[in-house]
Amino acid sequence: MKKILIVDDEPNILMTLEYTFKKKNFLVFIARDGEEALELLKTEQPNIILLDIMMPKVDGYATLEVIKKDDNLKNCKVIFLSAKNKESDIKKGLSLGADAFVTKPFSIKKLVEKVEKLTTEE
Amino acid sequence: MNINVCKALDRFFATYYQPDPEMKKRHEQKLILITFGLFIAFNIPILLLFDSSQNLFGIPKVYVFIFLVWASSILLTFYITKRYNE
Amino acid sequence: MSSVGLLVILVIYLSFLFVIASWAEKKKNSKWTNNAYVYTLSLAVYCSAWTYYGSIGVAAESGLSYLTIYLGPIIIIPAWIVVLRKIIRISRVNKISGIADFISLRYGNDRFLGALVTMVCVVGILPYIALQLKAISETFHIVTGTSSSSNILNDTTTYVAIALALFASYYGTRYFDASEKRKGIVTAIAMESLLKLFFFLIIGVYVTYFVFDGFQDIYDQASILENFDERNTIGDFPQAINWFFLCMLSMFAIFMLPRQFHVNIIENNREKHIKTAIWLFPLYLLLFNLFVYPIAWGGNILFDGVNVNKDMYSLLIAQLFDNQILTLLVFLGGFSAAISMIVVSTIALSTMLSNNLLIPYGLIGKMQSEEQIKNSSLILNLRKIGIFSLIIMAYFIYRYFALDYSLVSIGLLSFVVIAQLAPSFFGAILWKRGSAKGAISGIVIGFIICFYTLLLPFAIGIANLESSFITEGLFGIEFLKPFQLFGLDYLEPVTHSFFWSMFFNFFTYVAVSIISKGNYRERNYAEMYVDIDRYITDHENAFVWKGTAYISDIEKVLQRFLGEEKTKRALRIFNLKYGIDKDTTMADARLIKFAVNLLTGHIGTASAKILMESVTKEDIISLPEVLKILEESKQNILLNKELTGTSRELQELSTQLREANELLRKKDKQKDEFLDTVTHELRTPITAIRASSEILHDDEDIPEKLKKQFLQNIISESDRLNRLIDKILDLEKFESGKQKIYPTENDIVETISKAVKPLQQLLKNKNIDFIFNDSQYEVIAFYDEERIIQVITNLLSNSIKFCEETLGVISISVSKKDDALSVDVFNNGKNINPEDLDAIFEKFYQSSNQTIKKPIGSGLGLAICKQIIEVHKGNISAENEVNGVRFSFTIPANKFEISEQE
Repeated sequence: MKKILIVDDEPNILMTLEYTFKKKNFLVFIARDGEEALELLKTEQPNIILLDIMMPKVDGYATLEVIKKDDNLKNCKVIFLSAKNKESDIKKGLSLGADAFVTKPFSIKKLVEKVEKLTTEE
Repeated sequence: MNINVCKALDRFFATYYQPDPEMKKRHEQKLILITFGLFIAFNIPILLLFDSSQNLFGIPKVYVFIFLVWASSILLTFYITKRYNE
Repeated sequence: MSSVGLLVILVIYLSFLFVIASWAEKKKNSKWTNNAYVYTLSLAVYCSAWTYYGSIGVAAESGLSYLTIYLGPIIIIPAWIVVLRKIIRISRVNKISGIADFISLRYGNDRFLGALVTMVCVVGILPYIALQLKAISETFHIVTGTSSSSNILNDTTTYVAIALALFASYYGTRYFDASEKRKGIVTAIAMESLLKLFFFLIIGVYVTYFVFDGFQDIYDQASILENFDERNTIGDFPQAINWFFLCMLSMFAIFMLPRQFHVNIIENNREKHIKTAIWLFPLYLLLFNLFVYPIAWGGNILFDGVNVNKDMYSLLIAQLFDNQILTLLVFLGGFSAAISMIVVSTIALSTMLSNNLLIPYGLIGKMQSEEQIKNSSLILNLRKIGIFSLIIMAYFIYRYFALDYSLVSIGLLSFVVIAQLAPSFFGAILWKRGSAKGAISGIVIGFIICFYTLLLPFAIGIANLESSFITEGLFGIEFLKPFQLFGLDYLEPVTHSFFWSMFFNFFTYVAVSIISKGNYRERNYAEMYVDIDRYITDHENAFVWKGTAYISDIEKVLQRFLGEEKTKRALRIFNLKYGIDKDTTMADARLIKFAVNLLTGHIGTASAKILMESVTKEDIISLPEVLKILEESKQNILLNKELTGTSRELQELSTQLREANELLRKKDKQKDEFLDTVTHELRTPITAIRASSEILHDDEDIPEKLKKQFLQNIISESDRLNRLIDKILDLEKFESGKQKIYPTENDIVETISKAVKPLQQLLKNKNIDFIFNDSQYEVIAFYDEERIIQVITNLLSNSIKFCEETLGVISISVSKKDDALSVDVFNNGKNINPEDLDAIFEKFYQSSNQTIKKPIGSGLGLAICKQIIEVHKGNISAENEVNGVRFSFTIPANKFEISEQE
């Protein structure tokens, strides 16, 4: 079973995403900010992470930087999910090593497609 | 106010106002004053006051006077031009 | 040393100069050649063989008076900062090529005056060149141990003179451009100035400290010689008067000697070089004169009783002690001094001869029909021949007239002749009324007097005639004794001649100028000269001219001298400057002046004027009309001046503009940042709405409970979005000053109660201990109740969010003191980072503190509170306390004026 970690501080968005991927037979983990996410990642190695950027405590960029340093998460894919849509933001995100950048508001169908594509590449 | 208008006006003012490359008039007048001073110092009656061939540092007195005044005028002129050179 | 050996050395030296000149030509605009020090050193061409040798002769023979040659310049040089600058500006603007141009242009571009000035200069300077040749010749003989031969063809120095003439004519015309600048030669001259000073100092030090034991030793030995006291004091009153006049004489010379005018003014590149020259040049002269006295008296001591040429003491002393090298160095120094004078003078003179005499009076017709290349080479050849002839003529003068005179006497004679130009020269830049007729009459009269009182007697003196002319005056009239004209008997011949010639010259100039009616052209130039500072940026507009002229005709004339390429370029520049359509056919005054300027650079002002006249038809303008036109242009210039006079204000305005610009840019950037954040905030609820909607749409078998939840999501997020938009609009209205508040008298206690009511349930749910005394006496103040409720609600909501999780405490307190009403809202939550205490009131504040990367809530609430309070003319702040955070705001309690915000 594929594992997905969803990190976002907006409860309503988390809810929708959680529901969606549970329905797609993913094992879903959630975190409300970067700190929670990193804590979780100490014990779990999901196949893919959906990462919001603007979050309290530790934001998405910082979280990704830590993830990239972790050898255990080498094969973990990361998709940025953010309302930030300026070219500079997207560039920054991708240059930090994200596998994709999806802007909010997003289409659930398309997001699911992307996630499935990234997680079947093994 | 449009930013481009601001930039254009800025450039206009920068070229129109030329900073004065010369010394201010009153400093120039100081130099003219030196000319007058020298005129008087090197002629009667002042010059005649020092008119003597007596020994002063191995040179006739009158020479000492003339060369001293000459040297001071150089120093003064130098000082004024350097100090008030804008 | 053998003649051949010395000649070889001279050839080497001359080649060295050549090399320097070529090198400098290549580096025309580098700091090596275009700097104030080279300029100042080139001015030292003033110190010729006269200075180098002659001063010593004077000091030894007659005394102090040699100093007057330098004191005149020393006195006037500080004033150069104003005077020289003026002359340089006039010359630059009008493309003056020499002193004849300068004077003749001022007086209406008078051709005859230009020719007259040229002739005066030639008569004055030929003896001066002769004196240099005499010095070279005599020193040559001394060094080689030969003696001068009475047969001119047997004398080596004849051939030296011929060689020099060839050298100078080639060298002087090799590098020059239309502006008559010769950077190469100027650099070589500067180099020579250094060398001659250096060698002079060497011999000076040698004599003072090696031959003798310092100044004191010289004094001790010299003071016992006869005439020591007499020669080392000024003397009595008449001597002092002589001294005075000699100073005046040299003061004029430093301006009007053609070579000085050339290096001082024509070769000047930057006005700011004057600032260096005014102290450096006097310093140079001081150094040069330091050792004249010791060498002179050292010579008197050593050659006491021996009949030698005292001018040559420096050389003779070196020879006396068999110091070959030193002798050679002294010789080379003197040679440098002489040759730099010769080169520059002949260049200046030949330029004047061609520009102000030969071309205007003879060749202009020929040149008008020739091609540019032919004309240029014609001019060049004219100058070459001119230089050559001048030197050869000077040599003849030396051989047949000057053989027995001391260097100084010839030099002073030169000075007096040149001084005849003084009234018209200084009048040119100081007196608008000076006219051409006045200048011409003055110079003619002055020259006649000078001729009668100096030149003639000297010529007679050579012939060694026992002249009754001198002892008894012309036709035996005592009053007309050449050395005691009109009975003035206490001046020496030179100063006597100087005085009378200046006297008559000056008064004739003034009288004739006042009596005769000037013509308008003179008046035009007079304005442009005397008021040059006012016209300098606009001199083409200051030229008054009315008439008919076709641009094509002018173009043809220009092409004859500038060539096609340069003419086209020049006209293009002119059209650009004045915004003139290139299809214009008629020329205006500005173009005439412009074209005249261009031609002047090649053929001088006189010929340029002739050429211009030949292709244009000028209307006669009356003098009053000219003055009127000048007045108008003066008004314009004054206006311009006022504009520049307000440049201070302009600068301030510009700074203010710049600051406003900066502020705008900052605000612009802030706005961009704000927009960024706002759109981000707006997209967040939209994302939730969209996601929830999509799920509801696509998922058919979603459980009812979840369905309800998602629908609720959509509803609440829509509300959130709406609230956000409201807040943003609110904030915008406040910031742009469009938001109006409607203050009325209210009871703050009641207002707070109203605000608390809707939140009471929430407070209870969260178990917060809420402290507020709502039964206290009423506290009246003047404010917009709805808005203040907004503020309190916001502060309260924040406190609810931030206060302690389990044992939250919130308290609100009110106080009114004097005119101020303050409300405090305290919660026992975590302290805010001290850095952020001010910043939290800004919209969407992003804390640099990592724990608050994202603003909680909309991030706008506190910003709106701040706006509301500030519109009430109050202030709001947050403070950390030991166990919590206190928000407080203060507003004036009484009625206040509502004014527009920012």
